[in-house]
Amino acid sequence: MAAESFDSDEAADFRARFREWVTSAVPDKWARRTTVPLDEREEDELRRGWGFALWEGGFAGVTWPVEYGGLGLGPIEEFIFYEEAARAGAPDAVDLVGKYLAGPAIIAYGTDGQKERYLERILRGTDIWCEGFSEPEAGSDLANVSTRADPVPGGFAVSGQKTWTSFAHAADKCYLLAKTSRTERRHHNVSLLLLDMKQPGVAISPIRQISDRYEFNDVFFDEAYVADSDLLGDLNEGWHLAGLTGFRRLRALREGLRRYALIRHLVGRYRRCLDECRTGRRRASPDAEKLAGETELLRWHIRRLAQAQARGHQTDGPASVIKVYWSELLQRTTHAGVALQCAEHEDYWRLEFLESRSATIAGGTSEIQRNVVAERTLGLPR
Amino acid sequence: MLDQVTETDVTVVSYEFDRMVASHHRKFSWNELYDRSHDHFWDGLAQGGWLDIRSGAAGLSTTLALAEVWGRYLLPLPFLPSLVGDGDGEPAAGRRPTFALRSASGSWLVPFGDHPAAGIRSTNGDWIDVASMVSGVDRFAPSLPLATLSADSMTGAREPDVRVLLPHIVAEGLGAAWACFDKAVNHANSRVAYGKPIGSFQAIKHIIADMYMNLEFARSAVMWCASAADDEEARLAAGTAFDLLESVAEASVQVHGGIAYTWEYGLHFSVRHLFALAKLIGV
Repeated sequence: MAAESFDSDEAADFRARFREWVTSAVPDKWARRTTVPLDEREEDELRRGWGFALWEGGFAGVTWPVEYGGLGLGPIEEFIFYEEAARAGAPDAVDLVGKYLAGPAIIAYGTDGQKERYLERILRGTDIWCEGFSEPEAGSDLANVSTRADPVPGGFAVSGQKTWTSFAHAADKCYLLAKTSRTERRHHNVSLLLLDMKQPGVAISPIRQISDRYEFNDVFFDEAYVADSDLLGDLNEGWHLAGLTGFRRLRALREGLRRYALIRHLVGRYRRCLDECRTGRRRASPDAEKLAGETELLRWHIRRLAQAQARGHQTDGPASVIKVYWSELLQRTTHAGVALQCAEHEDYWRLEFLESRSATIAGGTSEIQRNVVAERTLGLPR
Repeated sequence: MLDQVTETDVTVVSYEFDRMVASHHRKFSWNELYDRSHDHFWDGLAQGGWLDIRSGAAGLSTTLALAEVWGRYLLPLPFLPSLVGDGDGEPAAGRRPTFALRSASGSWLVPFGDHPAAGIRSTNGDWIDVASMVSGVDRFAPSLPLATLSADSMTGAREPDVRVLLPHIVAEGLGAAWACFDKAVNHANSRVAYGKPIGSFQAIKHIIADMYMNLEFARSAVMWCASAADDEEARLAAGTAFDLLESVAEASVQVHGGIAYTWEYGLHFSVRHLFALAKLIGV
């Protein structure tokens, strides 16, 4: 029975159970990584291992229906899960696309065969999924995708290019949006496909970021095959389905909490640099108190949303402004950090600053977010 | 000093300089640009007399304009130290003149100090060879490597005149930020989404207008910095300018969207350069 409030017995029970598990489950290597740094491969391994550990521990799929292997709980437990995981310093996972995008979509619109083939493997951590949506000419304007899935005997031949694909190098499967009609109009000509990444027609090319790291990829499809049985939902209904899934609300909540943990960590480090380190900058530095306050407010906002969602209230409005809020707060914080010119932590702040440049761009630019708020939430004229 | 400072409009001299630097810059991709020494180009600058120009003789407007042009292209060469050097004493032949500034940690920061021919003027007019005293190099901005020298290694070094140096540093930063702005405007005019160039959207127009505003005020900050009554005022002007310049660079990334997040696109080199300049002068 999902908790309906944070004060309920159910919430307290879940918190106690999960806290007990997670505190001892976090790998030592991960916990010590600020003092003993890990290379990218070790980090990947630990993140992947965390997915397995969650399944073994009985905490994979907190909000997934019980019939599909989840815990069948709600937004309150989801919030508690992320809060306690952050408190314990748990690794972030590599299974986000599977657990929050592909999995829920399959639960909502999938055939029995698809549910059987994919859901448990997502929860166990056996299959890693990546998201194949953005393209070089389809960023904000996602409906402009040109990767096509042409009919061939028994299925589709997929050709085209996807970009900004996180996890592609590790992925087994791709949750893909592709063009399945050349004659239908915009928004009615794309479909969702479940594509096998481990086939010859798929080539992955890492993208070097401005931070000199490689976390995204270009993925090139050259007549990659998708069987008819891996079409998700109806043909040409992909746009509609991709936008509808109810798990989108939880995604905003989860993403917001993850970022809260990150920003809180950064603000703490900023405060310490201000207090303890030699800093070169002469210009006045932003107030650490102010940043800390704005960060705590993020958590309270998400908590309020989780509470409202658990009671079945409408929360699309308040949820629509989370991303703009945290992404801009994150950038203010990393800018403050790098501008300090801290002698000892220069490299740290420079990396965080460069990496945070994508926050107001990826996942819906700040400009698009504001348009959505103005037009959809507030009904201003388009 | 105030009388000398006029609008840093593009004079014939800086136009010539721009064409020359641009045509060299255009030969390379970003990866190539910072992978080579550009020795021939440096020799060309010397032969053309570009390394002998000083604000005392040529006028502050000219040297500030040249610094701004340099900032647009960010070749990894110590043009600015030449520009603001006092020119007295033993000629620089064969050397790469530079200067040293004290950092917050007490050590010295020397732009391009890692070059084997790097030299700093001493108070008696001869040169201190720097390369052997370098204890570390910060290459965050490949266009402005900052060598660190220990606290006691700079005895006898001539200290740069802060009130000449700072306005030129701000001018170079202005050039770097202007390049970011230029790219953003071009991108807004050419990138199509939802069937139109993205510059048609008001959100993008506003970001770009704000960038322009910040650049215009930063230009005024160059003049303020050059007219400052003392070192402290010069730093205040420079610090104020760098706040504006950094916001221009960040806004340019935002206008570009994802493409500017790639190493290959090269916009980050200007961003890195701005932070390196700020670190060098400690604002």
